[in-house]
Amino acid sequence: MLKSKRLRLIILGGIGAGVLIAMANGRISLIQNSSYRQFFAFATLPLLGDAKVTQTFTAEYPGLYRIDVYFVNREGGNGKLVFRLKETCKSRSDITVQVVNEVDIVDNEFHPFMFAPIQDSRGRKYCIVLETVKLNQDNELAVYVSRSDVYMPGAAEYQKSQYLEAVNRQQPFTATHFVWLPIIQNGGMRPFDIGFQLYYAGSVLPMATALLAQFSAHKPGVFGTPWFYVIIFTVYIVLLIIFVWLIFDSNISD
Amino acid sequence: MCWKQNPVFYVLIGLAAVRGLIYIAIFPPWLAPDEPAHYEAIRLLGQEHQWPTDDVYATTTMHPQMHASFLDFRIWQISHFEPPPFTADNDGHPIVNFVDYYAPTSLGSVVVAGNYPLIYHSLLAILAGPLDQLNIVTQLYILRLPSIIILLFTILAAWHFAATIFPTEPQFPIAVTSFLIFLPMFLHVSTTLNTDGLTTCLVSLYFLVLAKTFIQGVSNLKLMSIVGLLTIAILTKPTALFLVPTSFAAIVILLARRLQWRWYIPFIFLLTIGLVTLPASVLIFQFAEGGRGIATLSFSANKVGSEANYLASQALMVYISAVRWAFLSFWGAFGWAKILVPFSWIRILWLITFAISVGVGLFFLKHIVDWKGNNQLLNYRQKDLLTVLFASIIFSLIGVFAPTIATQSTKWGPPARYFFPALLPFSLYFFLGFKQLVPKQFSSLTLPIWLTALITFDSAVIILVLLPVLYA
Repeated sequence: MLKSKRLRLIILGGIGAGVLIAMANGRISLIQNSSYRQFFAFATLPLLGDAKVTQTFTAEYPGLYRIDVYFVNREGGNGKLVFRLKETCKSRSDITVQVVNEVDIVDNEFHPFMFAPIQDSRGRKYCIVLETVKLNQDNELAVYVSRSDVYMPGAAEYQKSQYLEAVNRQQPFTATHFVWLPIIQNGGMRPFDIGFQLYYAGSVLPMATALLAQFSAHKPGVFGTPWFYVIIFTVYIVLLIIFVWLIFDSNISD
Repeated sequence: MCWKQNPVFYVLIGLAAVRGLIYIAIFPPWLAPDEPAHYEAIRLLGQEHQWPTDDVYATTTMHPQMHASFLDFRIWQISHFEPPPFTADNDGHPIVNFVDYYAPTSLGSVVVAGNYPLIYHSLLAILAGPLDQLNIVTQLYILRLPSIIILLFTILAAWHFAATIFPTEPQFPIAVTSFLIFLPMFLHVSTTLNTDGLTTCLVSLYFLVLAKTFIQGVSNLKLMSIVGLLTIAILTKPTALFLVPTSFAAIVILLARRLQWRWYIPFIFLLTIGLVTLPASVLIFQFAEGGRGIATLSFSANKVGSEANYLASQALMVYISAVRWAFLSFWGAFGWAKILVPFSWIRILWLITFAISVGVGLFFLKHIVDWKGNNQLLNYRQKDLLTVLFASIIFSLIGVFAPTIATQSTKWGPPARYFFPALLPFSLYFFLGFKQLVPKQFSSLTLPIWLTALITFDSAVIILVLLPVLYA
């Protein structure tokens, strides 16, 4: 049946039409992982009291709609975590603010923060700000951090709890557990990053454009031009179609 | 069917070339098995004009742009390593030796003269010499390009190999060639800087000449070609050592046919070759620097490896783990073996491979052993050759797993690219086994189903595994 040229043309036409419709109306979803668990096995930054963690990043695709942050939450305190997304860490205004109960944050898992897609996010820098509301020195909520600079387009900063610093000056602070702070290793500040993931769902053409730019980034000569990838993939698909057409057209399989 | 009359041949060559170019383009520099180590050896030979010995590695700093290129393409992050520390000069260039910078991955991967054959590196050093003024990434992409030529020779050998064995059945060259072209790991390994691509090409040419010897008759030229290709392949990489027992098996089968031996005589010979190959492979690994001593004629009086019981339950767990890793790396363990296909896919592939293995067994019994005495598919020349090819697959597997047996550890993987030199006989048997599973009334769908499965798997790997990990 598939040897019929008319049938094959109908199938090809249907696939082609489907592709065009998908390109016009569809969306491409991507996850961008900036971190790897192997880096974060032991290093954490506690979100005690009014401590604050910020992380800058660059969105490489359009349609940013979700950010996952990797938390430690051993005891599940009754405080709240505030997640802010800003254009810069010092901006007064927020792109989005979300308040999450600490008990809803699962230990050793990424916690998602979702918001309306930012269609023009590609190439823009943003800042994640994490703070807690309830002041509680027994709070076990923390973010995993790297021991070195693993995410080059951005960096994290940590501001210790001023409230607890003052409290501890009045009475000794007894840690309920050991926390290793990588930023004070070797007596100096070292760049580090928190563990996070970025999710995008942009329209097909802007996503494809961004993907082609990623293909060609830092590469030399013809490999560094997006059009090379358009041509080579087009040639490949055409050859594939011809190949399948010939297989069904001939008596090879009989 | 003559290749000149079959347009599918030309389309397959075009597909091989285009796919080779795609894999070269989408894989960032350095993100291939031991590619940094191979580049460093080629650079030392072609640009520093130094033989890459231990002393040279210890006293020569790596290329000043290498660290920056690792960071630009997030190689350490993709491969789940922290970027290593280094000392920088006033311009910010690292002052560190390659063996200290690359050490986190594998000390055994560094290409050191004296315990590593350098045929491949010497050839590419000729091209690398004039490139020293170019950016390091540009150099690497240029050095990758000759691998497409090697790949095309392999594909040509595969087509003619299958067409020689089954000259009146065009589905065989298409099926065998398509398996190589659409096997993602083979494309990945064959389009980067490493010795596996050239070794596979040389061994494929060996199998082509072997096929012509069995099917078309012995000649002095063919015998000289076999010996020459075997020698150069082994000197290129010890993963070609299985050609030695294969050649012995071929001689036994040819003699058995010429002298009209009873069936049990060649059977005893083949069994003996197999039983000798296993311990010999283990001993060669233990006394000859992992097999590379064969090519560099360096043997050690110290036996590498454990004195443990090779059949203990602990040893069996190691072997099972090695088999599982080898299977995974055959179908999808890209880069520095950190970009993996989903395990759910691997489970499906296990089922398919098991079913096809049953098909291979059926084929062997029905057409080679001819247990019912009614084989009409194969003539005696084809049967003889297919027996040798089956033996070659066994010998290759022995060679691949010998390091695991010798060291009683999974340190040596083994990566399936060590098995790629045997891809021609493997792909032929894989298709023969698959054909056994297709009911006769649907036999016209055998090739379309085979191709659909290959192309679907390959497309899924590119779209759902490689591109998301590399670019997102």
